[in-house]
Amino acid sequence: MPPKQIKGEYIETDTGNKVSRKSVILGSQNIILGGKTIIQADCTIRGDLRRTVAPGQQSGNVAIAVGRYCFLSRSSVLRPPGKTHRGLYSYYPMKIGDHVFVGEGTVVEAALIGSYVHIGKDCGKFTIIKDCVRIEEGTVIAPNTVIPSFSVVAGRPGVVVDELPETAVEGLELKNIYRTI
Amino acid sequence: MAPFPTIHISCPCNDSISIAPSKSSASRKAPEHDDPEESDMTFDPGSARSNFSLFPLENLLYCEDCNQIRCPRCVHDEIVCYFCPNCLFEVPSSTVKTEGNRCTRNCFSCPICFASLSVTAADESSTSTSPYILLCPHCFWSSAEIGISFEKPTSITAQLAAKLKLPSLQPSSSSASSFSTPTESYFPASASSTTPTIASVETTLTPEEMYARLKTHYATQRAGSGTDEFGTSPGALSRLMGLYSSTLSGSKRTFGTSLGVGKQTAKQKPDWHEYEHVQPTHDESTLINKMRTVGFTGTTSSQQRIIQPHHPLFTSQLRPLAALLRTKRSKRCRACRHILVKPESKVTTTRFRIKLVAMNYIPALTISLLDPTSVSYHSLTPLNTHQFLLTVTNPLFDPINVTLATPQRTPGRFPTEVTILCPDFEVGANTDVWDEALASAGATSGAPTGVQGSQGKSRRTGKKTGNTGTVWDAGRNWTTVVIEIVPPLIPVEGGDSDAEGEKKITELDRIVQIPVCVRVEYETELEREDSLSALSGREQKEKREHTYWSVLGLGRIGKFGGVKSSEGSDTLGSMDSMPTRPMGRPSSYSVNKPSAGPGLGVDAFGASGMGAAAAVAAAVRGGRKA
Amino acid sequence: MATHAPITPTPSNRSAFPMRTSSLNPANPLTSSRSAASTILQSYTTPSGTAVGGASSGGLYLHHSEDPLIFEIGSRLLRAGFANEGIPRCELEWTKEVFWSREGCVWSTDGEGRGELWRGDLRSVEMGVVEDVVERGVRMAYNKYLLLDSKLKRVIVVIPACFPTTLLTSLAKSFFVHFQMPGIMLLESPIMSCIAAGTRSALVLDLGWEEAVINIVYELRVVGRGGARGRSRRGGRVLRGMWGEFLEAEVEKSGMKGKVGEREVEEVLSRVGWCRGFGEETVASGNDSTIDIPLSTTTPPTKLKLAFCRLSEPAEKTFFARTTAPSISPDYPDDDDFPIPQLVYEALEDSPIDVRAACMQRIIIVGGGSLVPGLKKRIVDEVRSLVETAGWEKGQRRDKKNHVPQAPASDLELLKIVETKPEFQLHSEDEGEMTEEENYEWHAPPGGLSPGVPGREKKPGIGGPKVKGLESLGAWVGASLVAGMKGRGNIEVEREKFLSTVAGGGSGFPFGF
Repeated sequence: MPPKQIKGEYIETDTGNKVSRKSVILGSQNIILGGKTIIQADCTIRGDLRRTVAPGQQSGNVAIAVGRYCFLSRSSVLRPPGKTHRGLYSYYPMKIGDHVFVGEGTVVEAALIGSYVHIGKDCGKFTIIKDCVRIEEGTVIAPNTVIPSFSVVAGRPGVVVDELPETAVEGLELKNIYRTI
Repeated sequence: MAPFPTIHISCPCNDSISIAPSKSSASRKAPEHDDPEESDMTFDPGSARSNFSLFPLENLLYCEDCNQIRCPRCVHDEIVCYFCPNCLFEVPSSTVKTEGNRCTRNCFSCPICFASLSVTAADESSTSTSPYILLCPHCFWSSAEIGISFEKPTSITAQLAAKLKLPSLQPSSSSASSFSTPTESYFPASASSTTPTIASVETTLTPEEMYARLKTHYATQRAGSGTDEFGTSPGALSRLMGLYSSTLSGSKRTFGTSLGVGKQTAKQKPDWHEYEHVQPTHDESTLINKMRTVGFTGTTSSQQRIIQPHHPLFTSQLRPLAALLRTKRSKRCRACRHILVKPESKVTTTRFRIKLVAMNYIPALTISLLDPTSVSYHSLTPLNTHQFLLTVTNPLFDPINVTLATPQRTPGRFPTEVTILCPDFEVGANTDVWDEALASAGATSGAPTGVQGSQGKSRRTGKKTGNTGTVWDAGRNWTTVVIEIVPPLIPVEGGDSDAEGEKKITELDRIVQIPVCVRVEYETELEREDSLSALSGREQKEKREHTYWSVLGLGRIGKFGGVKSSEGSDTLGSMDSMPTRPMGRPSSYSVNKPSAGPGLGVDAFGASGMGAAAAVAAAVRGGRKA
Repeated sequence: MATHAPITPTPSNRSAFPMRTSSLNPANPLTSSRSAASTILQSYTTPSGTAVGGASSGGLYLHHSEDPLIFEIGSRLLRAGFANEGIPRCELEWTKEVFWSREGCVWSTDGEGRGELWRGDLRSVEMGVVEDVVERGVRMAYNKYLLLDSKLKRVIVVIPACFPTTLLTSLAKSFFVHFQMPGIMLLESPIMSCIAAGTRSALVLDLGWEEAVINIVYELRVVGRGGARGRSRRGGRVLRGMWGEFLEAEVEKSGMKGKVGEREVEEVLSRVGWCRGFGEETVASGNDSTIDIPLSTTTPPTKLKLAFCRLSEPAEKTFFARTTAPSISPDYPDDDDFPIPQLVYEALEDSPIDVRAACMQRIIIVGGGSLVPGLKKRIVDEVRSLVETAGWEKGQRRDKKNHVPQAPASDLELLKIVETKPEFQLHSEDEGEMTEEENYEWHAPPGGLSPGVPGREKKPGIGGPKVKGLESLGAWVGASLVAGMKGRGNIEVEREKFLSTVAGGGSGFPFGF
């Protein structure tokens, strides 16, 4: 659990998000924070990397959607995944559920992260992580991997090494962390 | 996850299952303890079996009918549904087994690094009907390396099976039906019985082919014999399993005569023949030559090999691994058969219909250092007193009485001295989330009004003094007490070799593990109809009690450096003589007191305090024994 | 048994296994009245008794249409799968940390004593731990690979011949207590290896982890264990030790220091270890290729460059050297440490002549040690050469002396499931023995597979049979075949009976097993 921060380090939004003044948030108009989410110092959120569309066409303008009670530790990076499709490099929106903990220095390029997910480090492109997943520190998940619920993932590349007990939701909930900040 | 501190709970099922034979192991361990009677009771976290009975609270379930904790070992799993972890499709249970418990869509994992493979066009640039391959996005292994590409990006499993000519599990997995047509050969062309093939030509038979042939062979043998009244053919089996009844007539190769059984059996069954195409020992020189050429990197690691059904020696023989299905399981209490956990059957949901987890029934323990700045968990100073805060949080909606008992010295070769300053205390009731929200808006610290009720004693409110018999701090549904330990001095390896030093000092010796017997008592309302309780006017109360062992992993003993050398040697001497001395004497560690954490009123808990705490602990133990 | 009754299977289960509920019904008179274990007991105590009913109409195992599960449990591996399948569904190594560590603990990785599930010296084995680890392994097999509800399946356990009863009790306890199986059927692995090779008689050499064991199987019974020299410590552990020494010497030669971890040694030996063929030159030819072996457990991690031919040295030392112990005179044999081919030869020599005739053509080598490429053929070739040079003089003499008149045996007796002692069964032959032998001879075309010269095997007293080796698919597959034919094993144990005997301090198994 991070130590209590100095008051004033965070900007609190109307919905209770606490965003560090030292974080780097690009393209904030394309970012949705669900509320009560904490973004620590030196985080980078690349909302500017949104879908490239043919001119004249209107695309959805959300690049990153984050749910409630998420916690982005220091120096973590949220970056929408991108790939070349039909000769055109484009970014795809990234959706993160509630109670998602992103560890220090982690680069998240997942396509979808469910709720109650704990990420120690590094998550590959277009990964889909379902609810109730714990990703151990130092794990590198290969692109396009799907991680089912109640999994513990570790290794390089990350493979499911264990199953979480039924209490995963309780164990991974982040309400208490929010209170400490 | 930080490695320390750890809190484990010993599931009581361990006692009930070890029946008589465990006596021998207990007697073997007995000399390690001072008091054999005590050794029966104290849970030894260092014992070899402890690893198997200890679980974190999160992994434990709770059976309401038995009023018992249930660990993953004492429940029965029942499968609710099968699904592929990769494509998340549910697989009907009827097809699961025949498909080898694996996904039959396009889900494969890399045979090299086990990441999931993706289907990609072999040539990215060409748009038309280029072949497709399975490509590992992590290590870039591709099915092209074993010479396999696919015509279309769908139903890869079928294509792969056709390409590898994997004998599907179909003929082998259907049991009775395959036997009803035993003459139908698995390899119709080559294995028909009329053309006996010479074994030497077929040294290249794969195990699968060999198995299929053997199976056909045995099935033919079996078909020749009659069946008994039960529709099965024990006669054939009997012969197989050493109960052959041989006949001399009609059989070329019987050799039961020397056993004197050469009479007639009742039914004149033909004898069981040996298989015609037994395989002589393989000449593996080609293998060796291949090893020579491909080198170390061309061979499979043991991990890669064992996961493949055919155990290939070379990476060139690896096959993509079809994703193993996963299951959602419900769990039943082994004793009373009640369902403890029942997940919703939909694959993607994480909800449960029934979820009786121990977290909601027994108090949670948490440990923290009283003074985090003084020491770290990884280097506890030997022979110094360390204080930890042990917080007991009550998940129940009734206040609980908690009694903690611990051996004064932990079991093991290098005992740690333990004292819980306030072993007997009360923890307030839990309240609803809504109440919690209201309460947290108000007072910040401890002592909410109603919940303690009449039973609230003066020591319920913590004063954060280290006084014996008082709690450190308390809140609405939690109470914190101080636990003191004095880690032992572990001799430097290779130093003086006394009698104990025969065994090498292991890492386990350096870990401070405190067994704590937690006893929880509370009164709860009997569950009954609302009308009934209204009629009776007063709600019926029932007294309940849980007792279980918990193990606190408090840290690792570091180097002995905090105390001056003269003092160190002094205490070392006293350590040696410890086993003969009654425990709980303050003199045994009074030397170390000055170096205790600064945040605590060291003087406040003196000799008397220690003694009192120890006495309470002893009393608890005595009570248990009686 | 009553515990099974109240379960109402979930709909999916019901559709999957329609036969189960009825077949496991404790009210079934067949299963309850005829207890397999008691049959066994009876047949043990009264070898000439009339327990035909139990044997011919069967007990627990004959009346289920569903395939049982097969577990093969060794000190290093657990194999699990379904009967009637050609390969086990999973193979789990007991060395994996997950079987030993405390749940949710990072620091409990001690690494000591985690090499195998049990050791040969059972005094150092805590039976409770064996029970616990087996529980974890079996549970993992169920939940991850077999995907089954545990209690509803019948189970066949393949165990080595001559398995310690205490261990067996631990295994059975683990199955019965934790998984509540109704019954367990035990099959002996040498016999299963024979069945998986397609023969009825064979000399089964199991190059196991702990030791190499010879079992002589004749007509699907273990009739001998090679006499006093039927076992040797030359197994997987010695091989690993040899490799460890070999690698460490090489590391030192290359100027580095450091021990190579046991796991890494195992890894290296399983990847590049091999065995020279019989009579192959020990000295490398000059243009032999070299192999790079990366080592990570040494400090610093290094790469060894070794001539390929040298990688056969450890296997040579382990299985063929005069002695495996460090010795100043390595060319002189130890009194109880013989090369494997010598053991095989002596086991054959010790056998009665007809058994020998059958078995020498059917040498089956199984076990982890047999995975070393080239080893199986080498052993068979060496045994052949021994036989060709030494003949069977000793055995013949003995046979004549020990001629025992044959006891009349009834058909009834033979229908029972009895494992008779070798002496009982192997009274010697009459004069028709030679023709029997001819009948039994190997039917492969002459001049076939073996490089041995066909003209040389004419030894006095020995007619045709030559030493030959057979490939076996292994004990697990054998058990799968047997179970597929609804075969029954020597021992079936029922849960209730077992637990009550164990609670009473017994082993839970019939005496003499």
